[in-house]
Amino acid sequence: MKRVIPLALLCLLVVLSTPLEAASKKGEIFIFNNRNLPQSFDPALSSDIYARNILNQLFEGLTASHPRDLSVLPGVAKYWKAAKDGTVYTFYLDSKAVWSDGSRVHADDFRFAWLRLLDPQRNAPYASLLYVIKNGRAYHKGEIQDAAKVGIRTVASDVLEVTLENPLPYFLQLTAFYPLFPLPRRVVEKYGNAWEQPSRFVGNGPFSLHRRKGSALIVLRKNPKYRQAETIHFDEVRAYGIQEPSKALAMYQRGQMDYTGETPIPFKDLTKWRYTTDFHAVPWFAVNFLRFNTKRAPLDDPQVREALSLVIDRAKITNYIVAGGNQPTYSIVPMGIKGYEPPQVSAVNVKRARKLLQQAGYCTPDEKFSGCKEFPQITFLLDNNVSYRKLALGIQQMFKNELGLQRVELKILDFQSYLKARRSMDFHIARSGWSGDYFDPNTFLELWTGDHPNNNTGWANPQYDKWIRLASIEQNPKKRMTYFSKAERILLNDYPVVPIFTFTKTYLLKPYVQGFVDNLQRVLCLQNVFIDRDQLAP
Amino acid sequence: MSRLQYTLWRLIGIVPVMVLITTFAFFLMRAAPGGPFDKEKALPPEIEKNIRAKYHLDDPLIVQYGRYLFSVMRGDLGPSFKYPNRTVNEIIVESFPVSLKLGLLAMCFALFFGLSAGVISALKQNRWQDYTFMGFALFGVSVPNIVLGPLLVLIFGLWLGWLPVAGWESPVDAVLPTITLGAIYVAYISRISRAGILEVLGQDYVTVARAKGLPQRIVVFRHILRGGLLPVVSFLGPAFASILTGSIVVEKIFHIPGLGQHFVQAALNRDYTLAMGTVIFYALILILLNLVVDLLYTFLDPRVRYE
Repeated sequence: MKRVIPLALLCLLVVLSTPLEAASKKGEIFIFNNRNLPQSFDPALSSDIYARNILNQLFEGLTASHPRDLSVLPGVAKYWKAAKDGTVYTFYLDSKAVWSDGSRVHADDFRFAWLRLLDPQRNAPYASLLYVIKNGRAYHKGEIQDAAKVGIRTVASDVLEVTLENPLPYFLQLTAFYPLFPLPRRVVEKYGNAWEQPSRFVGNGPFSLHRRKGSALIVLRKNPKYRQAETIHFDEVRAYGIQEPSKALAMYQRGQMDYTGETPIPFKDLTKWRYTTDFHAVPWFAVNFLRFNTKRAPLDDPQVREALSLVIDRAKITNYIVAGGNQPTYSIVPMGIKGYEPPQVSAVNVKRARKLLQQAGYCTPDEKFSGCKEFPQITFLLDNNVSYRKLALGIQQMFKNELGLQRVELKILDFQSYLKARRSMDFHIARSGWSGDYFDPNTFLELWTGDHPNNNTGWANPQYDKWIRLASIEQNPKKRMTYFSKAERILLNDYPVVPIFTFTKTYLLKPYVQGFVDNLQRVLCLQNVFIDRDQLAP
Repeated sequence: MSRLQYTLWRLIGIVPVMVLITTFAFFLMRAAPGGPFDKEKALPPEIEKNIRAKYHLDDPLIVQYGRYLFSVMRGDLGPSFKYPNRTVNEIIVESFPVSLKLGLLAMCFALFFGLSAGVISALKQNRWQDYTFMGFALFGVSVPNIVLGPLLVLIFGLWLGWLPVAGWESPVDAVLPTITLGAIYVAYISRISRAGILEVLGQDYVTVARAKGLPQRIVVFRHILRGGLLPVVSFLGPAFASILTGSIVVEKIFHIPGLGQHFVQAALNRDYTLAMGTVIFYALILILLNLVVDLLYTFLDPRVRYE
């Protein structure tokens, strides 16, 4: 008995000490699923859409994006002037812009953050974004050490002047992108890497960092010092890092979450939710496509690549295989960019596909002419994801039914192994996806220039590179779009990539959440969003 | 051999075991294709080169191994590759207490219900109470937590709407994970305690106690439990070790920010240092807890000797 009593006391102690976290219940709390949580709160060290959702709450750039149409709005910069030739921008900072510790946001905080992004020792994934700034590339490559030679100058404590290498039509969109957010210089210099710990964190966004629970949860609190604090109605925001859509859905159903956020609604649950007021489906600025390895036979023959593209029935795929609102696409740049009408690849044409395959010397189901070769075994590489497995099986079946390709081997790997195989070009066909970083065709088209690290197709075309280069310096928006269109035409004629569908984001949002606005880039904006319990749907 | 000598000898024995585990963890991790810096949006080659140099990933593997082993021996598990501004030590210090808390809760739950069921079953042997509790115990042993967890979520979270389905924010969030993790140990403890008590029930001293006319309550608490629960106490050590290391699945099911989440995710992310760090940490805990149990045996059972 003597042993049991201390044991029982210990148990009691543990049970009593279990108020895991003093859950704050005062004020409105908005809870959503961000799928993955950022591995760092340092804008210079982040590089994915999940980080963007959080960093956009913690910081604000010189400009901001309109929550619905993503057009450029003033951010920390109240207004700006661009020189006639488009190479010099002068930003005038809003005197109301302060850090969460109450100190002013200075032009030098931007200069500091941008030079830090370019610091060769920093290894920032998005450093190349600032190659557009005069001497940005040379500074990043270590060719010049003098930061004064980089085209970022503080004219006064609230005036920042930026000189570009060439005019850049989408520069004001870039300044709203998180890698270009300012940093509180004093705090970063004082604490070094530890500055981003919740207890030391200082930001200038609508919310500030309160605490982090590993990769499970991040809690943000309203930043009362935010320059537009009156537009923020939540006292607390909780972002979960739940990767399984069914778990997020269960939490939503149980009332533990207001917005399912970044995890899609699983196919089996679509019928249940589709016609409720909670359900939303919005197009996303992202495309799912196939990469063809143009350096490996038989896909080194453009006729073969075109033949394969011609038997992929995209409508069937989006209706039955990856249903949920995804839309068939025949171009690499998704629709929706003002002034850009993307060229397209041909829709299904089995007859032509078989003819092309025959011209390439391969046997097809309807004709086995003498001397025709059997189509060799090819590898279809994909990452391990239920939807993509179904997609690959569907495409495999289309190749088999329409072209008689019996030996398309699916190689399903975990994501890191898949990336490794893709980067080392160890595939014939690779399932791929890309989401736009900024609202411009360039974010999708620059990938296919000869030396881009994400090309991974072995395809290069000097004419293509030329159009992309010209578009990057062209000031006239109409001409620019024409250049992009010409480039995309070249790309689609050569078939190193085959567009399949554009993504649609499906999510559930409690009907009592008011003022929530969506956009093509899934940029989360919580300004002017509030909870109105009287608006409960029937 | 004295107790001190024995303990020292066992502690020294930990070193080669840990070196072996570190070695296996290191080379297995490196054998996996892909690396920590591979992302959908590829890093520019010069940046990747810089990063690899910063983390010494461009050195020959054997040099990296030597450096890692040396740093582990100093207690430094290195910087995390995926959490750029944090070290593996920091991440373990932050997340292990959550796993520990969950483990302790599950253990308390298992002890309370396991002992109650065991004692009642033994005292009411072959009656309906015995069959009911032992039926549940059989269920508990046979149903793995990967099945039990979602089942409980479905029933108590979604159908009845009584309890949260995931999360670790308020005390009520701990209920389902605790039951899921502890259920199997409730089953074990109830069976072990039932067997232990049944053995004691037939002993002469119990008969004598009853013959003296002592009330049932005194006989049970003073005489029967004392001897009957010894096997349970010796079961607790290994049970606690496996509860701590076995919470990985439960943490995943209920989205609990413990060390288990990193254990799985770090391997998938190829966060070499974090994956190896968690392996080493878990291994060390298992070894130390086993040592503690072996030492405790000598207190509990004088027949065990140090040899």
